[in-house]
Amino acid sequence: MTDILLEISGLNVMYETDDAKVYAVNGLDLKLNKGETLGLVGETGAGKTTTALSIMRLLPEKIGLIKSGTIKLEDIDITKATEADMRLIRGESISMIFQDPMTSLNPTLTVGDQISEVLELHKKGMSKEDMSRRVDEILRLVGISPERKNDYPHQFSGGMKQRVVIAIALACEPKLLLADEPTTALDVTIQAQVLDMMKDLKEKLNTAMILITHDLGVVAQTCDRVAVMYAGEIIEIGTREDIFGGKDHHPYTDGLFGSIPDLTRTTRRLNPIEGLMPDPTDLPAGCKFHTRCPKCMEICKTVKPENHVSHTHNIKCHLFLNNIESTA
Amino acid sequence: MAEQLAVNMLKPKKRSQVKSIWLRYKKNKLAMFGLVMLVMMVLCAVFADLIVDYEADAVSQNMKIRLMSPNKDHIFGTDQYGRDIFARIIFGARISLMVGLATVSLSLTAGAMIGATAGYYGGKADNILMRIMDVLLAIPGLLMALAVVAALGPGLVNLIIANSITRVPQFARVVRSAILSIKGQEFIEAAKACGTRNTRIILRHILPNAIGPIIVQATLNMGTTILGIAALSFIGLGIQPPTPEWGSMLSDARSQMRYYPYLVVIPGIAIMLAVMSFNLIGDGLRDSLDPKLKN
Repeated sequence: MTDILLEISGLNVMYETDDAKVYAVNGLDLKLNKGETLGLVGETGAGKTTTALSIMRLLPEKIGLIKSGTIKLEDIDITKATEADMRLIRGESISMIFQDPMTSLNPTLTVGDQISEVLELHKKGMSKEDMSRRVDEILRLVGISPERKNDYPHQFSGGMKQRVVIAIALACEPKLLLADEPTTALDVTIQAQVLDMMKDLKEKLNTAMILITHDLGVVAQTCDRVAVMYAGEIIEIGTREDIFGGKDHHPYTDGLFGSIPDLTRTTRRLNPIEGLMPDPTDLPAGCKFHTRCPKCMEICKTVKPENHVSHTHNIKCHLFLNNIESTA
Repeated sequence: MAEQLAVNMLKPKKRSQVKSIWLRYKKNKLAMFGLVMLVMMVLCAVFADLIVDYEADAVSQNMKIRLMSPNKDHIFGTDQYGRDIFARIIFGARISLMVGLATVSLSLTAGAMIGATAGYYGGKADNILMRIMDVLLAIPGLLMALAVVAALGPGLVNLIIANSITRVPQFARVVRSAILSIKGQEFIEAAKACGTRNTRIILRHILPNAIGPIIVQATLNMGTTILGIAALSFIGLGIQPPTPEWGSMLSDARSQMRYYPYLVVIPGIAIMLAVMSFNLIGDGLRDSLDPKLKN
């Protein structure tokens, strides 16, 4: 039985400009089961959005290149699909929700037209009446009264717009939903509403979701599994319990958690991670985190760490690999 | 019943954008003046046959009444062949507006297609298309039109073609720059993420958002086109006699200008009013389409 919906292995993505080569994603491996929600967290520039755009094959033309690796959606290899095939996959099998609902709707089309456009593109045989019924249905699903389908985006509030964006993304009941910071542009109360709604909907439609965010609170609230990205690779991945409750962590993950205020702990100051993300045009050798790592060892500076696996929890760090060797 | 009510309630909302543009436009007195003038001219041109008789008043010569100053039978007077100037002005409006409209729509369509392709796809396509446009732009418009008319021969259709070719680059540039500014926006990315084809993105998502500058360019171009037709007719390469045309009326009246100045003043005013009304409308539209331009 194959429950795996998406399998990314050894993905390398590079942005090539005249001035520089930017190594955005470096050897990324990822598996996603059907109906599962994966939180993809990390700092700005860690390659989260690049990963999502690679899955959609929407990297900027001629500049963003998938250098190697495969992205398999069930049986289709997305890295090798033709542009025409991709058009059928986009919106139908994979949908994407963009960060800013204010700008991701076309201001000159009514929201109803924008939802039915996806249906027109992917459900060729659908009659006008069926389509309009489906639009009403999906609007009701995201909590907007169908009477408003003839309104223009500017007549909606930010939270409502994001609901419309979600409605568009879910109109064809995709297998995979990529949500790129879907709640960053919304205020906290609306954020919670939208997240709850997305959770509900994906359960109803059995859609798998990759939720890109840098808000660990959002992750704790919605995700089954969590992947932490740093400098273009996944340095730690595990179930929500592994990441939030587990004993062992990658020092970077520790650093991330140390950067959030905690009501139950009494510390005088937060412990942010020192320094900045390495320059993606000139990545350090060995473990990419070693320049900022408080537990850096000699080996980290030269040798790339392998995955340390325990059950569902993977950590890419010498700290744990050495432990295994010494105990073995 | 309730559904019907809801539909009725929603109808005015759908027009709200057009309505707000109209409300802003209405405030601009000069633009309204231009619009009223244009509407009057269009009405005259459309119902010209009801106002005057083409054969009897505008074309056939009547030496008994030649060169009469404006009077109550001929409010604009008559020319050296005894033709009623009022009738000729009205039928001239028909030609000018028709040729202007045909020219602008032809060059707009071609220019929009070229500009959209260049702007959207960029790279080589952009370079090749826009360099061709640059070549066309480098040749003065009137000279270009002259050359085309000389090659194809004078006549209504050739006049339209000649004027269109000279105007294509302007539209191509306006459309291209509008597309460049919209192409990078997130809703275009979102449309791509839905699997929308490129042509559909251009036609459905980009052009409607770029319509403002395109409309303005089109109206402003109507004025210069009318002027261009008059200029070509003036030098005898445009509309051929006896068809009444403002430019050729000016040209015919040249020799009588000294003693019968109304012969040149009246068609001159007609050209001026037509060009001015289009320019005023264009300016007004630019202001009302862009709410940021005016508080």
